[in-house]
Formats: sequence, C-alpha cells, structure tokens
Amino acid sequence: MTTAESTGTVVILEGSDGQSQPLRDGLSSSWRIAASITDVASDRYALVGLSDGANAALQHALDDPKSVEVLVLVSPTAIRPTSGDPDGDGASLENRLPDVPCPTLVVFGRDDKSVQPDAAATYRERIPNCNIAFVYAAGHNVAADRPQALINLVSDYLERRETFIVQNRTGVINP
Amino acid sequence: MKASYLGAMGYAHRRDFPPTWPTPPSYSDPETSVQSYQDGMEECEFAEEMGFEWVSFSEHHYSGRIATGTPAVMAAAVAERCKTVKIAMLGPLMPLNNPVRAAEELALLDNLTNGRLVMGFLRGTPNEDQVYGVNPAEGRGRMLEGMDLILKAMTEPEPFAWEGQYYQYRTVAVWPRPVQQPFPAALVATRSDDAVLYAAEHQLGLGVSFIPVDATGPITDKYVSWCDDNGWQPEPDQMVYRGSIYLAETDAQAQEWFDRQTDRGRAPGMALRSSVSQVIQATRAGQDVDYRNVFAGSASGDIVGGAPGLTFVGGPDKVFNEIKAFHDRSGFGVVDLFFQQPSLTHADVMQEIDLFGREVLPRLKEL
Repeated sequence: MTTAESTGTVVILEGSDGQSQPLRDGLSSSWRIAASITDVASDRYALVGLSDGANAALQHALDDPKSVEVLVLVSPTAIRPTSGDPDGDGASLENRLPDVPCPTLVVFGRDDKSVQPDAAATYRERIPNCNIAFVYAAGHNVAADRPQALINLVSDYLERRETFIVQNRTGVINP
Repeated sequence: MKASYLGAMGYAHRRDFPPTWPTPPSYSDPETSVQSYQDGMEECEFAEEMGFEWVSFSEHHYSGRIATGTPAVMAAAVAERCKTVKIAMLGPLMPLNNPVRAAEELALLDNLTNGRLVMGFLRGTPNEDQVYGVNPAEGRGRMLEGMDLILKAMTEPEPFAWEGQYYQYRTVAVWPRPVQQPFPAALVATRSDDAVLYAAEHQLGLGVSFIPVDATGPITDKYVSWCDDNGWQPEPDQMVYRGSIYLAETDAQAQEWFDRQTDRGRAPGMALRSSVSQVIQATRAGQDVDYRNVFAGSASGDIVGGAPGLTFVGGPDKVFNEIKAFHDRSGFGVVDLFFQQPSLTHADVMQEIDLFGREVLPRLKEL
C-alpha cells in the first residue's frame, strides 16, 4: 500500500468500549497515527471514529470541515430511534448529515443490534459522498469481532476513497 | 397439508446412465433432451391441475437424473405455464453460487411470478462440491454467509459494501426488489445445528430431505424450540419435507416394482469413486485426510451422500399414512415429492400424478 501525502495522518477516536487497538495496530504500518486531534502536525488528516467515538468524529468533521480530508465512522450511534429524543444530539447530527464535507465510509457489523435497521440507508442518502459497508459475523464492536476485515476495509478506503469500489486485485491464477 | 411436485426434468433415458457421477455429456442426445424438458414441464402443469400447490426445483449438476443445473432458468420457464402454484427454488446451492447473483435471480423470479416464489437455501450433496471447485471444508461457512448476504441484499434499500469471510463486494444493489416484502418466503434445507439455528433466529422455514420420520423428529423439535426461544412459531408452510415416491394402485404392485429396482442395484448416475467420497466426507467433517490410505478399492463406487432410497412406496392408503406420519411427528406442512424414479417413463409419471391427485392429495389437504 502506498500512502498519499495528503492523507498521511490518521486520527482514531475510540469508543467508550476502548476496542480500537487492533485497528490502530493494523493501520500503523502505512499511516502515521496521531495520538489525538491536537497532536496532528499536518493541516488535514483522516478521521476514524468507533462507536460513540464515531459520533464525536462526525461532530468534529461538521465543526471543522477544512481539517478532515476523509471520514470513517465505524458503528456510529448518532441516529437514534425517533421515539428516543428527537431534539437531542442525535437528531441534531442527523439533520446536519448533508453538510458532511468529505468522502465518508460508514461501517456496521452485520449483527449489530444497537443501531436502527434503516440507519445505514440514512447515512448513505444524506451524506453527499458516502459509502456504507457491512462486516459479516460482527456485532457492534467490529474491531474486536473481525479485526482484519475492518483493517482491510478501512485502509483500502483511506487510500482510495470512493474508488475503493473498483476491484484492484488480480484474478490471475496461473500467469 | 400441501403437496409439492419436484420438477426434476430427468432425461428420458436416464435408466441407461452408467452408475458413476458425473454422467458424461455424450449420453445427452439433443433431440431426447429437448423432449425430456417438454415432458417435465407437462408434468408440472398436470401436477398443478391435479391440486399440487407448489412446484419445486433443485440445483443438481452434471447428470440428467435431475437435469436442472441452473434451476432459475427452469423455474422461469415453468412459471409461465403454471399460473397459480408456488414456485419453490429448493434451491440454489449456497456454497457454489455467487450470493449476489442468487439474490438477483430470486428477486427476478419473485417479480415474474408476482410473489409466488419460495426460496430454499441448501448446501448440496457431496458431489456438488466438485462442480465449481469449492473446498468441501468451506461449504458450511459459505452457506451461512451466503444466506446472510442474500437476505441483506434483498432488504437493504441503498447500495452497500460487504466484507465477509468468503465474499467481498464493494457494491451490492440488487434490482428488482422482491414482490414479497421484506423478502420472499424462505427456508433453510438442513439437518445441521448451526443452519437450523440460523433459520430459527431469522424466522425462516426449515426443509428436511430423505431421512426417515424418526430421524426428522429431533431436528424439527430443536427447530421449533429455538423458534420459541426467538419469540415466534413457524407456520405449516414453513416446514417442508422432501422425499422420493413410487405410487401404484395397490401396495402389492408398488412392492413388486420396488423389488425389481432393488435387483437392479443403485440409482444410475449417482456414485462417486469410494476414494473421492471418503475425501469429501472427511474434508467436510474437518478431518485430516491421509491420501496414502484412501486409494484402496477406489475403483468401486459409493452412493453419493448415502443412498436416499425411496421414502414413500405403496398404494394410496399406505403412501398417505406414510406422509401423514411426517406431518404428525414433526409438523411438516408441505411434502415435496420426487416422482421421476430412473426406470419410469413420462407416461408412468403422469399416471402417478393422476393417482396421487385423486387418491392421496384430497386427504392430505384435510390434515
């Protein structure tokens, strides 16, 4: 993998369950992992958030749109059932999704029971440049359930953004 | 209880096949083959006329015994002739198929039939693992993931990527959406705990094939119990038993025919070399294979996946009671019947369908 100069730094915002280490380790061979947003030396960086860290990442991308070059939200819970708190932070974030300024990948565990069934579609419909992905055999904590799958997915997206949908692995068996 | 006619579309001269699988394509004469499919479709139409409520199709490869390697093609053709029956795809073999392609075929069939599709997910008999080069050890995992991806593809309204263990797609957006929402009636055909549990957890039906009634009980008991654990109970149409049948006017006539078949030996076109069969079974079971020791006696053939034999043999009363036993013991609401035994002609099968429709089916419907 080659690292694009403009996305050489990744900031990972951990969720309260603290399971970002596999992703942190997996990305570290190709990316500079900043300890926090305030430690980033470059002007722009990739921002990855997990669980409630994904909510914080989304909030930060909206509040400081010039600094975030690419955004990855893993198991975000910002969109809550409408029966919960329609005027709370989640509703506010949901209404601001059209303002997300950068390419965004939203990742869910296929078996994540903590998100609304239509949450993925909501992100995809409202964020202007958004891809969604489901990780099979993973629940809310994708980094713990399928660490290598998450590393492969996120690193490919960080490198290629929305063009990650184009297959670039060879299918040749016997050259 | 409902009856389903398995549209096997067997090649007319299948009795002449060699005992081993695969059947060489040289045995397929185009003229005979064309007529065989026409005969098979006529049987499906007649089954509908006689009161069968489902017509089913099954994916089997490299043999004219059940000559529907691409069952969706066959189902589409029959669906244009049979206007009321459920079209049951029992089904695509999950380890062999690209799940996205399978989802597209199934969704299209549900549209062509205006919501008459039933979809069943199967692993397949051991010989099927050889068709597209699937490692038998991965069949179970591919089946579970494939089912999950199909259901996701049918229900997710926006394009998505899938990061699986066996499948990776970066754009999935199945078109058209199924007529039946959120997805067509579906069942898992299995005897394995993990797949039975998947069916129970996802409110899918259960299909069981060819085993005796006493052996179905523990499987269906588990399924019903796990459905209960997940807060629901299956409808009768969600429990399907598939069996082979030979129906005659009397028990004595049926037994006489059956004895003649037994004298002829195994069903033609079904056997694998014993070495191959051993390796497949061991690999499926996750066992190490010592290749130095499996070749002894490999010239002889084994029945693929154990001999299915004939489940229902007799006159109308006996066959009715045999099917009823599956209903009473396990709660099966649909019986899917394989009529096209290798030695039978098209005329024989049509006679059987007629007899079944007159003498057996009315009583089944009262169960």
